[in-house]
Amino acid sequence: MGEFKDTPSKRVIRTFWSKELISFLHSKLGYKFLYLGLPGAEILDLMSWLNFIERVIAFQCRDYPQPSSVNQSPKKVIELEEKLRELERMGSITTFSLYDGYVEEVLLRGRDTVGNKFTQDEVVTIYNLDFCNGITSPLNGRDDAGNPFRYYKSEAIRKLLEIQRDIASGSEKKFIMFLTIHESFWDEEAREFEQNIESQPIRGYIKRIRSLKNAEKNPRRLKVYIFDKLRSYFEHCNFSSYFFPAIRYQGSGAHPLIQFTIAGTYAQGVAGPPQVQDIKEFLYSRFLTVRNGNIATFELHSSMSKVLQEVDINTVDPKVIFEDSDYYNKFWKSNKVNTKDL
Amino acid sequence: MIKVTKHDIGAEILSILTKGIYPDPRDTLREYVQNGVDAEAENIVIKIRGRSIVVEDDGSGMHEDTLRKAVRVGISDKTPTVDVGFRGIGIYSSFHLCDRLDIYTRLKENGGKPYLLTFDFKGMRELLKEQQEARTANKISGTELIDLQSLLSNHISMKVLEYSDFVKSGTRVELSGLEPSFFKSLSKFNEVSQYLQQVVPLHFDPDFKWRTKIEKKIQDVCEEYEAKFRLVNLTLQVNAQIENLYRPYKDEEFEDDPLEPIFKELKAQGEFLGVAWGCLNSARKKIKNKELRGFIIKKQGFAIGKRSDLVKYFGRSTFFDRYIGEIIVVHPDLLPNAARTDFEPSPLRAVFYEALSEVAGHYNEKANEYQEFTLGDEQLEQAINSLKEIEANLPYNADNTEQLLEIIVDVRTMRDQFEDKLERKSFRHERRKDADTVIKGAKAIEKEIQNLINKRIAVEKGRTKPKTIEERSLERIKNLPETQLESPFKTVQPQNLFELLESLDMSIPDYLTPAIEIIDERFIQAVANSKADYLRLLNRLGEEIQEFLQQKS
Repeated sequence: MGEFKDTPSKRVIRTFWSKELISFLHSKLGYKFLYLGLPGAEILDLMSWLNFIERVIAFQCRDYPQPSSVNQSPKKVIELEEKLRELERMGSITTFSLYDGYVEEVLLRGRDTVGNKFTQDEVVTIYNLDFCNGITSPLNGRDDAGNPFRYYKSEAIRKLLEIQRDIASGSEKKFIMFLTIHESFWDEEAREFEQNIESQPIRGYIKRIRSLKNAEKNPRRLKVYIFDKLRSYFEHCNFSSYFFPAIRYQGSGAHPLIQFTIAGTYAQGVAGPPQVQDIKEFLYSRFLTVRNGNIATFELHSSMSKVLQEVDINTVDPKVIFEDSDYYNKFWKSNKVNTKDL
Repeated sequence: MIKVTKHDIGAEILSILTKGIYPDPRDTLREYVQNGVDAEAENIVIKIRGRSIVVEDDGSGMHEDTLRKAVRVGISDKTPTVDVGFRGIGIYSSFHLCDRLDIYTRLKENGGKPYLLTFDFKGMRELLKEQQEARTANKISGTELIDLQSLLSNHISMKVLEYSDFVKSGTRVELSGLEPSFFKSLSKFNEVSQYLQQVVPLHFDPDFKWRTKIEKKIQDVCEEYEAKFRLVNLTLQVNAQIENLYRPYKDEEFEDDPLEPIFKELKAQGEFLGVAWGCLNSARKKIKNKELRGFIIKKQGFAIGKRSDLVKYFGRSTFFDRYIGEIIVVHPDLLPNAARTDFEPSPLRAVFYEALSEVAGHYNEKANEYQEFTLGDEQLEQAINSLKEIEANLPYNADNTEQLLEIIVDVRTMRDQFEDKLERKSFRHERRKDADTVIKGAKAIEKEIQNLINKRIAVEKGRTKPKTIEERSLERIKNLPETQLESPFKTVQPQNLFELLESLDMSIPDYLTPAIEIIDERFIQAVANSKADYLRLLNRLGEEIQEFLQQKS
C-alpha cells in the first residue's frame, strides 16, 4: 500500500487535479493556507503546493502501515521534521507542528505516540488525509481519563470537522479535503452502514451495483459509503459539502486507491447547513482516473454502462467542475478576495 | 608559576558545568532568548514541537568572527555592564538537552551570506560516557581522558551557507534530537509560558491597567542612568498552540482594579542601584495568584532569584503578599551569578540588600497606610450612619436614663477613637474634614444627652422636695395593697415582647410562648435598627395595645 511512495498516477493527480484546485482556491480566497495532513517524509504534495501554503500541521507514522508504537524507529518522523524545519528556515512556510502517528490515532486518542496533545488554533484550508494503513477499524483504546473508547476510523474526520467548527475565527471557514482510501476499505463500519441504509437513492444505487464484480462493486460501495458518512459529518458540524468526482488510480504496488475531494463551507444558523448538491449527481457521475499522464474519465464496458447509467463528466478540469456547480455559485462565487497575499 | 596545557582541562568539565548551572531545561530557553536580547532583537520566537526546539530572533546576527568566538567556554566578548549574558557558557546550556545544536545566523546590516555553526552534543556526550566507563573499568588511565579543546574541535563545525538556506537576518538556534524526558516537560505550554513570563524582559500585558505608566517610568530611569533595558516581543509555540507572551500581571489578579503603582528608587552610599514599582491590592487581601505575590528582582529584564526570596526584607509576608511588583536593578556592577539565583558576592551586593530593606520598609508603610485609610473610610461611613440613627432615636430614649447612659458611652468611645486616628493621620487627607465633622457631631449628641440626663436627675431630685398635696395623695394610693392599683411611677422598660405583654397584665399561656418569641424575633427585632429602636417599637406596640384594650372595654 501507499507508504507515501510516489507513483506516476499520484504525480498526475497532485499536479493536474489537486494543485489546480488549490491554486484556484487561493485566487478565490486570497490568502495562504493552513495545511493539515500527511505530507510524508518526502513532502512531495507539500512541495508541489508550497506557493499556496503558509502553515503545516503534519502527521507522520513510524512504520507504515502498522499501528504506531513507541518501540518503532522514529526515523521517518525525524526526517519529516528536518524537512519541515528546512522549509521554515528557507522562508517557504512560517511554521509547522508535527504529530507522531496516524491522523486517526492522534485525533481519536487526543495525543500522539509520544504523548503530545493535539491542538489546532486556526482554520484549516487544505486537509490531505490518507486512510490506507493497516489500522483496524473500529479502533480500541483509552482516552486521557482512562475510559475505553471504540471508534470507527472515519470518525477521525468528524473530530477534525468538530475542531474546525469550534475554532473562533474572523475569516470564513472554507476548505478542501482530499481523502485517499483503499478500494477494499470495507470493514465492519461499512457493513453496518449497508444494513442500515434509510435513504431511498442510496438503496437504489446499492441495488444497482449489487450484480457487479467486486473490482467494480467495491469502489462504488466505498463511494456511496464515504458520501453518506462524510456528508452527515459535515452537516453535523454545520458545513455544507460538495463532492467532486472521485478519482480511481493505482498507488504503489498496484494497489487500487480512490481520492475523494470535498469542499466545505461553514453555514451559520440553527436550521443546519444547506446541502445544495443532488445526491444522484455524485453517485451517478463517472469516476475519473489517470490515463496517459492526464486526468481522464474512467472508461467502462458498454454493458456495464447500461447497468450503472453513470453520467459522463464534461470536463476533467477541477476548476471548471467547481465553477459549474450550484454549490460554488451559492457559497464561493461572491467571495471577497483578500489580495494582500496574492 | 607552572605551565598549564590543554591536557590540564578535562572535557568532563563541560558536562559538570552545564548540569550545575542549568538544572531546569527551561533555563536553556532563557539563555538563547538572552542572546537575542543582547543582539538587540525586537522579536523572538520559540518553537517547541516534534523533537526539536527553535529559538529565532531578528537581532543583529553574527559576523563570521563572532560566530567563531561563540564556541569558547567561559570567555565572552560581551560587556557585563551592558549585555545580559557575558559568561560565555550559555551556548552550551543545551548540552544535556539535545543531540545537535545548529546556529544559523546572518547579519542584519550589509546582509551577506548566512553561516551555520553545528555542535554535535550527542557525539560529545557519548565520547565522555565511553571514556568514563573505560576509566571505571581501569581500561584507560587518567592521562588518556580527552581534554576540552580536543572534544570541542572534534565535534563543532562551521560552514558558509547559500542565501536561500537561511533567508532571514538575525539568528536561529535549532536544538534537534531532544531527549524525550526533556521534551515531555517542555511540551506543556502553560509551564513553559509561565516560566518565560517570569524571567524574560517582556512587555506588560495589554490587560494590565498600569502597563504604560510602569514601562515608561522604567525606561525613563534607565535612560537617565544610561542603563540598558530592552523589552522584546516573545511568541511561544508548543506544537500547534501559538501565543504572544507578556509579563504575567493583569488587572484580574487584583481584587478590583490595581492601585496606582508606587515607585521607589534604590539608592545607597551615593550610588543609584535601581527602581522598584509595586501595585497594591485594592482590598486588604493577598494577591489571588500566589505565584505573583510580592516582588521579584530584575536585571536588564531578566529575573534574578524568586519572589519568595525577598519576603525576608519585608519582615513578614502580610504586606508583601498584597503587592505585585519588581525591583529593577540597573547598577552595572551588580552582576547576576551564572545560575541567576542571586547577585555575585560583592560589597555592592550587601549595599543593595540594605537599600532593598529600606525600600521594603517604604512599601510596608504604604500598605499599612492604605490599610489604615481604607479602614478609616469604612469607620467613617459607619460612624456617620450610627450618629444619624442615635439622633433620630433620641426623643424616644429621653425618659430612659439607663439607655441614655449607654448611648453616651458609645458616642464618647467613638469620638475618642476618631480623635486619636485624626491625630495619627490615619484618615486620608480628603476625608479628614469628614472625621472632624463626626467628632463635632458626636460632641453635640453627647451634650444633648447630657442635658437630657441632667433633666432626668433634676426630676428625680425634685421628688425629694416637700411633697405637694397631689404627691401626698398619690403616696397614699401607693401604700394601698398592690392588687388595688398599679403605681403610676412604675416605669420599668419592658426588654422584650414577653415582658411587654406581662406589663400589660396579659397572661400568656405556655403553649403560646414559642409563638410570642417568634413574633418578637422575626417581626419586631427584625425591623429594629438598634436596641433603642427596638425598645421604642415595643413601647409603641404597648401603647397601641393599651388603646385597643381601652376601646374594647
